[in-house]
Amino acid sequence: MSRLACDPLRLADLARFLRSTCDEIELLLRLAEIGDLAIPQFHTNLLQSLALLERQENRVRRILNSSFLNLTNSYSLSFNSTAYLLNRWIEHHPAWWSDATHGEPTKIDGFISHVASNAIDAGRLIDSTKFLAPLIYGCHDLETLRVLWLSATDPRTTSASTAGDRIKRLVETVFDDQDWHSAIAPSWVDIYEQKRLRREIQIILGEIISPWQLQFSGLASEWNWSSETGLHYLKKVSESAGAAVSLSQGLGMALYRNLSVLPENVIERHQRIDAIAFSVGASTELLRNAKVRQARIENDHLATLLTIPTMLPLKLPWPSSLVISETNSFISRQFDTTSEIETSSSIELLQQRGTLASIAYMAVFNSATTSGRLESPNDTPSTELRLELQHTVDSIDNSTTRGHILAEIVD
Amino acid sequence: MSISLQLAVRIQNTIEGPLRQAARLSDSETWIGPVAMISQGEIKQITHLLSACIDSLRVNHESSGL
Repeated sequence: MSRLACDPLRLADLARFLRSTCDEIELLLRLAEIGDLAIPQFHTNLLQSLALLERQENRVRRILNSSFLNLTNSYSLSFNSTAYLLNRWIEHHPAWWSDATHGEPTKIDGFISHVASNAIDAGRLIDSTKFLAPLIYGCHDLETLRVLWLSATDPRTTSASTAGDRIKRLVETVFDDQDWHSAIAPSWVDIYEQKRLRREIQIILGEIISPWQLQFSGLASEWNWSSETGLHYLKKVSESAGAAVSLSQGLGMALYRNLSVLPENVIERHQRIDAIAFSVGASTELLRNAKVRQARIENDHLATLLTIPTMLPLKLPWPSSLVISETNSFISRQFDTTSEIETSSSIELLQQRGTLASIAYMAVFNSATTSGRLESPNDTPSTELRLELQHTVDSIDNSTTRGHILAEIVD
Repeated sequence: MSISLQLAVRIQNTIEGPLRQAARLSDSETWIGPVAMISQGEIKQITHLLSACIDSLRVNHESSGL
């Protein structure tokens, strides 16, 4: 018997017999109804039995569905669960996070590689790991890590709420909770390698978040958090240039996916379109600001580099020092691209919103066709639908914003 | 055979078939700790309820005079 508080093989058999008993009692209830058998006590007893059986069955299935058991097929169970082994290994190896910086595959790489490409197994592993940091900072092989997280949050196979639970924990672990980092004393750490890993993890984070970025602002209620919190994390992710590129590239697809299925109710439908337009506004603005911030940081780095000679003890006379200082400022200004980036990113923002408005138009049109509000794509849309389509486009790309940005560029 | 009798036979078969197997598997070989006791208690309760169903069906069958 393992350390687990159950025997999965017997538990699977138990689940099968409980299900078979439940099926039989449901059949008895139907037969009694068909046979017009009016015995109240008989009916009550059967319902009570069914409730007890279902309670027990739920208990058993909850354990069988947990990732602590590796269920490759219905009743072929084994204890080689990745989550179980990973959690146990972490418990006995407090230096797990320094292993990733040693330039060779880690034990965690091995654990993750078994489940990374399978959406269900990858999700189970993440959900069953209370301490998430090893599934982010414990890998040397970042490609496997990338595949693990992308599989577990793929919008084609993952519901919005499940992806939300996983991604919220991910961003909280990356940006907030770092206590594990200072609390333990690892063997040795390659600081440069660690920095490289962190940079690359930020880029991967951009890829993971990209299809779900609307849930960080306008659709935040789908993930049960506030748009302020979501935008706070989205801003942090967009600080990495690589992540910002992924976010920008994924915005169109996220927009199309979230607008393709709209509620039947007209008020709810318009509310959703507005919430999505709000998200598009927030994402595009954050991405523009990220580009400008990046340009400022690069310019500050250059300015810092140029001041190094003035700090050397050259014992130059005061006028010479002044000349050097002014030369530094001149060179720094010459290479400062912040202003150009501000203008170019504003123009890009306008162009991007124009493109996104077209995508939104197509998505809402498609939604109208699939929901039956428009019988055929070749039919002329009703007045109501035309107004809805116009409202969608105007919410994302409108004259007020264009005027505002143009004034900013000219100013 | 009346409907009451048919149902009584089915219930008896359920008690002796899958429910007995479930009772056998809800033991300390499957569960470590108090869950085994809780599970067995529940299975006993189900068996008791189903036996009461058989009694109700028997009474119904006898009173109908079939």
